[in-house]
Order: sequence, then structure tokens, then C-alpha cells
Amino acid sequence: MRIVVVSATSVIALACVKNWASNGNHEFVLLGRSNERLAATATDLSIRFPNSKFEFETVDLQSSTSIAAMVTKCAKSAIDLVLVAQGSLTEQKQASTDLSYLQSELQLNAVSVAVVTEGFAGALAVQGSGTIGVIGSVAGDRGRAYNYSYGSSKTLIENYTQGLQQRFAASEVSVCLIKPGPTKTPMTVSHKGKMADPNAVAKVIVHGLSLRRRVIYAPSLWRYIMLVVRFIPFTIFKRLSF
Amino acid sequence: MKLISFGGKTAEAAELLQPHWLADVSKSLGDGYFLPVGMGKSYGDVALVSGARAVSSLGLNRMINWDAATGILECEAGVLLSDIQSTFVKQGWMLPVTPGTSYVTVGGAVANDVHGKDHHFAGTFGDHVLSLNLVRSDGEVLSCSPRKNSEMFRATIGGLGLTGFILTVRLQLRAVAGPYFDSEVIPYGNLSEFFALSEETEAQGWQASVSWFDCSTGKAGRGSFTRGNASLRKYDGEAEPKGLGLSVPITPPFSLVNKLTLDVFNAAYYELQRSGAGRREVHYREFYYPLDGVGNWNRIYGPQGFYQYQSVVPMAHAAEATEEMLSVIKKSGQGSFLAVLKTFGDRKPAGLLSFARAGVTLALDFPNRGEKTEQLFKELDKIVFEAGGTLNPSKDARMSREIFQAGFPRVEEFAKFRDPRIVSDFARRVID
Repeated sequence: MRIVVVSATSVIALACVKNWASNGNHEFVLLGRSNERLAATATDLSIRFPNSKFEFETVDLQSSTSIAAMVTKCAKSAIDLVLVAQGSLTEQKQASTDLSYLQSELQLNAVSVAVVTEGFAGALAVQGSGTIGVIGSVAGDRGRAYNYSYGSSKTLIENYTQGLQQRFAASEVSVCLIKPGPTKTPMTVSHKGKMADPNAVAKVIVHGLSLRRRVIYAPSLWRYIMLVVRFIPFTIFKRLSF
Repeated sequence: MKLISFGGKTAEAAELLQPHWLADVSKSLGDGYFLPVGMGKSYGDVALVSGARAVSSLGLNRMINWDAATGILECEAGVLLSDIQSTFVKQGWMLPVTPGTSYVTVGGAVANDVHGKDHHFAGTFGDHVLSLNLVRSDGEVLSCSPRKNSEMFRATIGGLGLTGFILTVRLQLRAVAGPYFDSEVIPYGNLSEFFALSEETEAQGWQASVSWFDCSTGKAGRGSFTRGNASLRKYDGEAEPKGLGLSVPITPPFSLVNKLTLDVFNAAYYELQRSGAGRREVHYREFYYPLDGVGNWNRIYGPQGFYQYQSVVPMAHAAEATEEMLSVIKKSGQGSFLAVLKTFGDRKPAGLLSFARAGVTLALDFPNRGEKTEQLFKELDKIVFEAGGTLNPSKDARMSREIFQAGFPRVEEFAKFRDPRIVSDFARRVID
């Protein structure tokens, strides 16, 4: 497969790449902001998986021009799979008081993800085939005082992918929304509570994408947890503190 | 942030940071006291730090350069030994030295100058480090090797993380045909047979050897001797064995290793070993890492955790000291299930504070039974101390300053290379 990974140095995306490469020989295009980090990542992957191929390109994920140019460049050869993984875990307290921080977080977690997704969806539409997986979050399932600045970006992604799914319903293009639960990453190392292992999350994602599932909860238990959370009446929900 | 060691000792660190990129490490060190940490597989308190910052290497897990012609790997300090083994064994290379678990970082393996079943043949992990990069708390990055900053290099190998944060390491791997070992298991009836087997094994040039022995109250002294050589059979594309896939899911309310179970465990294990005696081919994972197949096995010791007591005694007193230790253990009624006996080769230590040295090493796991266990250790200490031996810092949670200072006489010289902002609970206890 030829797999394009947007924000390839993020922990979940990288775990997915390792999962794919350990189960087959693929061609990867790793996209991200920092040339240095991409280069270090690609070198590591090339040593670990000598039978797969790893290219990398820098892209400014805040610029629609840069994104459009990158989509065109990537689409010069057929793309089988795109994983859109950029995001930042917004600190709610800071977002509530620092509006410029809030704006840049929304830009990265919502606007940029929508633009990248639309860009690659367009390329897949021209090809007439391919799968695009977009990383949202269980946090997008319901607005909570604890993390609504982050969660609402993920809700936008959900709505966006739903629209694409309907648009491509009659074609060979698939759009999958991926909703990981809290996952162990360098950002969450000192957080309390149970965190999923990124490799376990990646396994669920890779499997879900291979089946072209519409919505992938990872770990899958979150599907049922969030089902309950969504149906709690607001009169009760407002008193909860999770 | 609570840190928990493998033996179950805990420390409340001020915070835990995990830089993800080499360029970010220096600023993660902050401006107060800190300790570099990795997988936390050290048994005692060398990787614990109370009240200061712990800086984890686990985000630094990239391989940087690999030369398939010479077997030289350069990688970041947080790369796990398991990753190195599984990646390169397919290309005909393996780590020349590995401890009994593969789930440790390269940085941790250097900082503890770990040893394994190959000691008499290949020395310690540090013997295969060609060079390393170290960042000091003042931000200076030192490139160290036997030729450049050689004193800092020797201090960092086995330096328990106290000389700086290890960023990257260049390692020499060893050429192998494939992932298999030709192993031989030989039951023995008493300690003198063990010593005879050890001598014969080293003389015959076997690459790896280790021995388990029955340390229960009844039949103490009998055991089984395992030795092996890398097999000449090539890698045939076979997937790595999945291991036992077992895991201890929860910590039981009390130690499952206790007076009632110990003799049964030991007798059963002895029979198991005896029935498996003879020569056979095994995968390296089974040969080197039998316990990696059981996740969280340390939980069987219950909430109080356990101690590993690993001593080394010079060859001249090895037999009598070991006999004496066994009889003290027998008398105490606190047997050990995982009792491991091995002779170390007579080699120059790789680091200033390296533990492995010529002699016989004995490693015993005891459930933590408080004062009673400490009483036993004090008696064992006396035997070790009088025989001119010492204890392994990576396993230790309770040795006295006196024992440490006597066993590691170069600690004074080491002081020159200490990073002034690095502390650990171990260093506070026996060095500072």
C-alpha cells in the first residue's frame, strides 16, 4: 500500500505506521511540520523496517496553500490510505482565559484537520478509490466543562466526516472517523487515570481501517461508554464532575 | 508523581517529564535536582527520586544509524533491548550482552552496566558501548568514548545515571546466524557439582551459562545448570514466539511466595528442569528471557513487594561463602524461589562503579516480610562482607553505606564526574 500520514510524528500515528510496517511492506509518505523530526522518525523507521519505504515532506498545516500543494504532490502516485492525525491536547484552563491560545488550538484541532481532510478527500475522489482515516476523539461525543475547547474541535471533525461519508456513499472512497480514548503520550505522562497504550490503540485503528469501518473507537470499549455518556439527560449530566 | 520500582519500593517524585526529542532534553532538566529514569525495572531505589524531578528517556526511542556490514548501531537512550533484538536478529545480529529481561532501555543498561548469562564470555553491556552522548545539567553535551572524554565514559558506564542524562549510545552488536540457541540443561545435586560444571563450561568455551538452584528449606543445594551457544541455524522467517502470553493481572493481598508454597514451587520447578534436561534448540527469547513471557510477575509478591539480594564473592571464598549463605537462609526459614547462581569471568570492569567482577554471584528473591527479612539480610551481609564481596546496586534497596563503599572503592574517584544536580534515593542512601 501507499500510505500518507499527516502529522506522522504524533504518537498514535507513529504507532499505526509501525503496526502497518511490521505486518507488510508498504510505501509511506510522512508529513509534518518539522523537517528535523520527520527526518529522525523516517531514519528510525527505515532501520526498523528495511523492507518498507519511508519518504517525508514538510507541510505548514495552518496554510491552505501549503496543504493544497502537498495534496497535489502526494497524489502524483496512487494513494491507498491517508491517516490525518494532527492535534494538540488543549489545556482547558488556559483556553478559558487566553483567547489567542484558544484560537490557535481551534485552528490546529478543527480548521486545519477539516482542510487537510477535504484536500485529500478531493484527491481520492479523482482517483475514485482509497481510504481516509481522520483522528477525532471520544471527547467530541459530548461537550464537557473539563475539555470542551478540545472536544468541540473533535465534534466538528465528526460532522465533517459524516458529510464526506454521505458524499462518497456510492463510490469506492471510504472515510473513517477514529475516536481514541485517553492514550499514553508524552503530553499525558503525568496525568492521573488509566491511559491506553498507543500500540494497542494503533492495533484497533489499523484493523478498523482495513475493514473501512465508519467510526472506530479505540480501544473499542469506548463505543459503549460514550453511548451511555451521550444519553445521560442534561439535568443529571450538569451535576456530574467527570 | 509516584514512582514504583520493580521490587515495589516507592518514591514521591516532584514530577515526571518525558521529553520526546533529543533537542528538548536539556530544557526538561529544569533548574533543580533531577534523576534520569527509564523502564523502572531496577529492583530497589537506583531509579527512584523523592522530592525531585524524574526525567524519563522513554520518549527517546529512535534508532539513528545502523551499519549492517559492521553491526554498529547508534540509537537514542530510550530504545528498548527487546526492539534491538527483534529488529536485528533477522539481519544476523544480536546484543552481545543482555540481562534477564529485554524490557529495559539502552540508557538503563549502560547506567547499570548490566550483565547476563554471557558474562564470562562477553563481559558486561558497557564492554560493547563504543561511544555515548551525555547532556549535563548545565546544558553541555559531552561525546564520550574510550578515546574522548574517556574518564567520563568510564564513570557513566555503571554510573547509575548520576553523571548526566544519556542521550544516545553507539553499540557493537554480535554476528549470529539466527535467533536460536543450542542449549543444554544439566541437573546437579550439590554446590560442588555446580562449581565443577561452571569451570568445565568456561573451559569448553560455552557462550552463556546460568544456574537455578533449589533454595527451599529441605533440599537446598540441588539445582539445574543451563548453558548455551548461539546456534548455526539461520533465520527462516519464523515469527517470534508469542511467549506464554501470561500476565499477573492484579496484585494479590499477600505474597503468593510464602512458607506454604515455597517448597512446593521449588520441588515442582526442580522436577520440571530435570524432565527438560539434555540438549535442545531454543529460541533466544526463551533462552535469555523466560520471565518476559509472564507480564507483571513481580506482583506475585503481594503489596509489600520483594527484595532481590544479589551478591558477588571472589572465587577464593566462593564455595564456603555460598554454603554458609545457604545454611543461614535455611535456618531463617525464609527460602527464595528464584535463586540464581553464576560465575563471573575474570575481566576488567567496564565502568568505575561496575558491579560484575570475578567471582560467584548469587541472586535471591525474598518477599518483603519487614524486620524478619532485614535480619536475614544482615546475616548474609556479614558473610559477603567478610568474604570480600559486595551487593548489586541495581537490585538493592537496603544495603549499608559501609558495604557499598567497601565494594565500590572507586566511588571517591567517581565523585569528580557526578553531575551536581542529579540525585537518586540510592545515592542519598549510600553515596552522598
